[in-house]
Amino acid sequence: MMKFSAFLIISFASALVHAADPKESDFYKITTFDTPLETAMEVSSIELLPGGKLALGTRRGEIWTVSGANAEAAKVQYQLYAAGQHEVMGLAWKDGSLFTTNRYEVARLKDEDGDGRADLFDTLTDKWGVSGDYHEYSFGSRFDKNGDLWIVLCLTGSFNSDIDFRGWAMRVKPDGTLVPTCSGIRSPAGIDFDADGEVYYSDNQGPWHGSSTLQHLKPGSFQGHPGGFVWYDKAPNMGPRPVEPKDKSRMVKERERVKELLPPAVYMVHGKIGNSTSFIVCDTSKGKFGPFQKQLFVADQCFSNISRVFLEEVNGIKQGVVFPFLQGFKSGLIGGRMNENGQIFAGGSDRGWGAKGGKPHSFERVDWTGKVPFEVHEMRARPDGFELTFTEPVDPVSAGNPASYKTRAFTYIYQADYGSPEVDDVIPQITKAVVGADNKSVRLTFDKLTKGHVHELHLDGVKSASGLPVLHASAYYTLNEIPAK
Amino acid sequence: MRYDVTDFTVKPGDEVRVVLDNEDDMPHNLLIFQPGTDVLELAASLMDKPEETFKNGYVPDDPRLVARSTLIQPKSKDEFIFKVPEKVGVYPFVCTFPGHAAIMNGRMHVSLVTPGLTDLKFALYQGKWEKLPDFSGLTPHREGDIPDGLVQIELDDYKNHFGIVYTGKLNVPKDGDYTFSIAGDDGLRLLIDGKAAVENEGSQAAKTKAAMTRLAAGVRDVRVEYFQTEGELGIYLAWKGAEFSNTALSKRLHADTKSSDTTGMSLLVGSEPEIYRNFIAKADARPIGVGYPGGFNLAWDAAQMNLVLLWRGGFIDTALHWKHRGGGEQPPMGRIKCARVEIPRCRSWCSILPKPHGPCPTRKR
Repeated sequence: MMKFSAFLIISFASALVHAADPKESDFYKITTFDTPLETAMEVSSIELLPGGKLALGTRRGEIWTVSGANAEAAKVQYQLYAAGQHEVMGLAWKDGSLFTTNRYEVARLKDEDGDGRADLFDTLTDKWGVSGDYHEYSFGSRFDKNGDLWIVLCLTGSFNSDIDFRGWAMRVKPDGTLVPTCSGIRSPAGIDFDADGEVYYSDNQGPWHGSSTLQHLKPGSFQGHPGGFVWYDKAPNMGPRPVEPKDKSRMVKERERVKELLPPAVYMVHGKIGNSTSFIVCDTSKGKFGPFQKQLFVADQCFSNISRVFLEEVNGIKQGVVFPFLQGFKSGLIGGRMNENGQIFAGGSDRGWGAKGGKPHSFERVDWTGKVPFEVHEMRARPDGFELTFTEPVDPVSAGNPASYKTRAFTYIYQADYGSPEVDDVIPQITKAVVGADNKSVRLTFDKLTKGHVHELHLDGVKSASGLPVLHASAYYTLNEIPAK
Repeated sequence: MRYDVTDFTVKPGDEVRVVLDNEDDMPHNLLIFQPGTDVLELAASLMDKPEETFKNGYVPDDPRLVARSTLIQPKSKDEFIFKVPEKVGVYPFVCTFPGHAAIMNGRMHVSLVTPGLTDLKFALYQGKWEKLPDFSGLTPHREGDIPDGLVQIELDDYKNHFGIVYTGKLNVPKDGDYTFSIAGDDGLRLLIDGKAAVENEGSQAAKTKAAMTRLAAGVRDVRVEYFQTEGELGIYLAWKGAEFSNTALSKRLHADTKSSDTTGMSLLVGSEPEIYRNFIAKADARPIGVGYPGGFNLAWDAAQMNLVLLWRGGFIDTALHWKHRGGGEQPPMGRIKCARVEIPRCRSWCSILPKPHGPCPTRKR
């Protein structure tokens, strides 16, 4: 009886919204879990465990195992697995052990007696510096395709690297050897892989970072903040110390001088996409999360949202586009993971840094409802413009009209000061918009493209074949390279 | 390991029965002392003569002792009855079992009026306002009772964009002038029998505003309206009369008077040791703090691989790290004078064996 009446309410609700414009929750639903009252579940890392379980690492240094989070929210169960770590910012499961990255070390934790609590704590490596400054967070990845873990080490504060390898990305080999891998990190808050196993991390706006970013950790590269250059002396595998970037310059210009400098793959445009980029999730669910297979989903602590990133490689450099995707999470997102069913688990905290969500901490799940939103699916750079594909057929009249689009290009000052305004504005003209034969793609021709600029595109005039607007009509493409063809 | 009630109010001359139910797995007691007694110091001093203290059942020979329970064994109950002194004031109470005092303490308030309101109810509204809205036209998001009678915000864990209307009854002991003090972050208004007594309606940081009102003896209707925009939040209400000092009508005392944002989150040690890895003062940058049941604590410095601190009493206050971004060094709790040992850095207290079960190293001269 109860079930039957509940079902009626649901059908009534969906009948109501049919008349209005689609909204995010028609396509992706956020479920909020209750969490144990004896702790503050400030989720800072999530890992998948066998049997559909999860491990949650928290800012207070606890690790909780969770069962039932992939099903009915009311039946979720928690057990404390370990406590007394210092900010668990990375969790990776392998062969019955949970590898944690906390402020001080990467350690292997194991529940040897099967009571659900860890009783073996074995340090794999702690060979990086910790000065006692709170800002020196350590974020860890899952195991990469070679069986290595990656860690990104926040600077001492915003500007300096007071102790070994602050501001570096390191690889941890299975025997615990620590390999310096990239310099130039500022304030990371997430690290994960794309569908090919390439490694990305998120960095936050600050000195030498005009905006928060998604960055490709290509071994040997310099990621932009020179504060940790002194440790090249201890990293012979990395070659000589790069030349210092010039202050108050531009990324595109300094790339010509500093050959190791790798520009951000995507600027997560400050104030528009987010203010504080955090976890990264790649959709490897083979369609269970909807139409965005192999794309990246990048969270934001301050905005309590997730954005969607499509990447491509041009002239050997990763670059791509970010779209708004889903907002309305209850707290500032920090930790996240997708399971094989295409469910994203996400959690976080607003402690110390406010978040739009409004709650002090949260643990939530995102499910695809099975309905496909009308969205730009992919956006690729072309020698004279961009090519868009859509998730649903477009209305050829509106999509074929250049006046349905608005565009602008800008960049940031590459500087030692904190952040940057958007500068060097260019307003390109869209001279042609040609709808493809399949009605699911549009080729836009611009009168000019500017290398190194973020090209923003607004599609407010574009309708689907059934007359719907684009669910998220804004796109921000970071044009590091312009393809030759 | 704590008292579930840390503050209670009684009237002078009342006969009071205190019932203690020890659900814990350690023995506890409750001793009430005269106003002004430093009970932490007193409890710590008992440890200076452990044998004598044990013999006396952890009860000090001290003229300031007002009333006490026996030592209550784990999973058992006790009660005691005593007559409340005539002197109005704050009487501290404490558990004197070794190591408990820093966590297990509280205050008995002797006053002509008791804190709080009766029949207190709340209605929580969601919305974004710049100043106090007219709540009468709005639909509450949630409503309910507040059984402890104290106006409070933590009804839900919303932090931004909400408003609350509280209604309750105030028992006015005599005809006379009463001063009501309020502070709200953000706006706050107090109405008595439908008339505004004191208000501070805008978006603001908490500042105390007070106003005097003449009231007739009897039961008065109280209405409190509050809203929060973003950022810090807080609510404080109190009243005083000719025969009693400021008495709380709200749960949290105002920041001007009490409670720091960097204290008050003691990590409780239960039946198992607790580990606290964070910045502990004088334990270098990689400390491992361990609190053992019974109030024995140590800090290990994992950078120098050395034991650096030993202390008795409470373990550690986590508020500095867990209420904020996580910066700053937190000193241990417990008694600083004689029960906290800082171990000289030059001594090596351990060495790492090449094999887990290998022979112990011999000392070389």
